Amino acid sequence: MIYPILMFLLLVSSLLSLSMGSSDVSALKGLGEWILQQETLDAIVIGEIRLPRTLIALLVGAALGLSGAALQGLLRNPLADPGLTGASQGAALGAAAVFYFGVFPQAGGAAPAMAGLMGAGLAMMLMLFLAGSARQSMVIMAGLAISTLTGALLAMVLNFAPNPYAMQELVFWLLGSVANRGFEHLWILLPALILGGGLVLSQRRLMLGLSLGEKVATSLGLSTTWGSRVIVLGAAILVGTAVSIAGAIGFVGLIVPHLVRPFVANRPDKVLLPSALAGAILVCLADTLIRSLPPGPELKLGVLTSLLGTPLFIWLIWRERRRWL
Amino acid sequence: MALISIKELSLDKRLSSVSLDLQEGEVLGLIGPNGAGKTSLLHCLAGIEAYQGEIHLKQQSLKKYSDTERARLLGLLPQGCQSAWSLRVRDVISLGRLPWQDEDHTKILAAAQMTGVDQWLNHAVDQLSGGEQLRVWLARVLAGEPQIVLADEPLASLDLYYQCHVLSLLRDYVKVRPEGKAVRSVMVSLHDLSMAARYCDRLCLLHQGHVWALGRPEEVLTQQNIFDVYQVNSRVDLLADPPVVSVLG
Repeated sequence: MIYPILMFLLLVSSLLSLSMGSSDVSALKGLGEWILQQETLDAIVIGEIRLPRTLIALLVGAALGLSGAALQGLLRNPLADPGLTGASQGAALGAAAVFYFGVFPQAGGAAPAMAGLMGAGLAMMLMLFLAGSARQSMVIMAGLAISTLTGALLAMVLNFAPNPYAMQELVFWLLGSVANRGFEHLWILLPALILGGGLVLSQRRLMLGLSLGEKVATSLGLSTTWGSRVIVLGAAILVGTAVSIAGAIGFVGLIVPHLVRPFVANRPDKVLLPSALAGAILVCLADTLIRSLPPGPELKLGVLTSLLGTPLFIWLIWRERRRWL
Repeated sequence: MALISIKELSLDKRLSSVSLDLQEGEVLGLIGPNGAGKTSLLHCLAGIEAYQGEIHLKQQSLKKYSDTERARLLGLLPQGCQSAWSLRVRDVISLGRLPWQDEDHTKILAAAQMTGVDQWLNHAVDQLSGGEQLRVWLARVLAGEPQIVLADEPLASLDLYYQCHVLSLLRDYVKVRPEGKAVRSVMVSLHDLSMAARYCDRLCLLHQGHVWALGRPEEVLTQQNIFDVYQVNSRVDLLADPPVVSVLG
C-alpha cells in the first residue's frame, strides 16, 4: 500500500527539515527537550525556529496537494490547478492591501495572511456566484474570469506602488516562502486544513461517481450540484489559506495528483489523502533544499517548486501524448 | 402488477402527455426515431430530468423517494458512456455499489461474470474495445442489483454476437429470479426493430414525444405504424423465428 511509504517519507523529510540550518543542533534531542519544556539551546532552535517552518511547509503542501486532487476529480480534468478557483489571486490581492495600505496593523506578522484569507474568500464567493450551477465548464470559466479580474487588480496595485520597498516586499511575498513564519500562522492554517479537507473528503464518493459523467453520478443518487459546490468551497479554503500564509507556491497542486495516481489505480476518491501527504513531503523537501543552498539572497520556495515542477509537467504531457498516439 | 406507472408525463418540448407502465418481470422496448423522446423518458425515471406529471414507482410517487432509495431500485445504463480516468474494470463495476455504500466483492464479481468481463477485472477500461467497454458499463449497473434496469441503446457499439448476448442477458436478468429477490423488469431503448420484436415482451413506439403505440410486438410493429413514424415502407414477419422487420426504403 501507498500509505506506509508516504508516512515513512513524511517522517524522513520532516526530520531532514528539522536538522537543516545554520547552527549545528540535534533535531531529535532538541525536539525532545522542547516537548519537555527545557530551556536548552537545542530546544529553542528546534522548537521556536525550525519546527514552525517545517510544520507550515508540511501543511501548506498538504493543502495544495489535496485541493489540486479535489479539483481535478471534480472537473475530471487532469490540468485543473487549485489557482483555478480564483482563491490564490484573491489572497494575493488581500495581502497587497496590507503591504500598501497597512490594514490590520494590530495583527502584526499575521496581517498579510489574514487579509489574504479575506481576499481569497471574497474571490471565491464571487466565483461560486458566477459559476451558478457548478457545471464543469462553468466552474472553469468563472474561475478564469475571477482570477483574471483579481490579477488585473493586483497588477494595478503594483502599478501604483507608493514606494519601491512596498513593491519589493509584495513581489517577494508573492514568490512564495515559508521562512520567518511562526505559530500564529500555524493556528490559521491548521483549522483551514481540517475544514477544507473535511469538506473535500466528504464528497469523495461523488468524485468516484463523476468519473463516468454527471448523468451516471445523478442516477447513482449522488447530488452533483450541491456536492460540486462543497468541493469548490473546500478547495478554495485550502488554497486560499495556503497562499495567504506562504504566497504563491506553483505547480504543487497540479503535479502531485499526477504523481500519486498510478499508485491508486487512478481512482479519484483514493487519490485525495495520498495527494495531501505527497504534497506535504514535496514542499517540505523543497524548503529543505532551499536552506541547504549556499548563503546569499534566498531562492524563494515558489520559484523552486515552479522550476522543479515544470520539467515534471512537460514529462507528464510527453508520456500522455505517447499513450494516445 | 405495475412496477412503474407513468401518467401524463411532460418534459418541455421533448415529451408530452406520455402515459406508460412497466409490469413486473417484463422487458419493455422503447422504439422510435431519433428525437422521439426515448432518452428523455429514461432520464426522467433515473432522476436526471425534472418533469411534469406523475411517475409512480411501486405505487409511490417517484418524487417521494430519496435519491439513494431511487438509485437502489433503478439502474441507468446511459448512452455513450465514458470514463474520465483510466480506471480498472473492477473499480468501474464497483461504482454500481455507490448507492449501497459498500464495495461488495462477490456482487462485483457476479456482475462481471454475468456480462463476461471477469477476465479483465484488473485491466484499464480505456484499453478495451467499444463493445467490451459496453459490457463493463452494463456490469456496473448490474452490480447494484437494481430491481429495474433502464438501458439506453445498449446495442449501439456491439457486434452481432454481443447484440444478442446483451439482450439475452437482460432477459435472463428479468427471468432468472434469485431467491428472496424482488421481481425485476427492464426498460430498454432500441433502434433495431427485429431485435426489439425478438427480445421484448411489449414495445412502446414513441414519436415526437408522444406514445404512438403500446402493446405486444405484433400490435405495435405494423407496416402502417412503421410508415407513419419512420416514413419508410417495411416488410414485417413476426411469425418467423427469429422475427424479421426489414426496411424497404
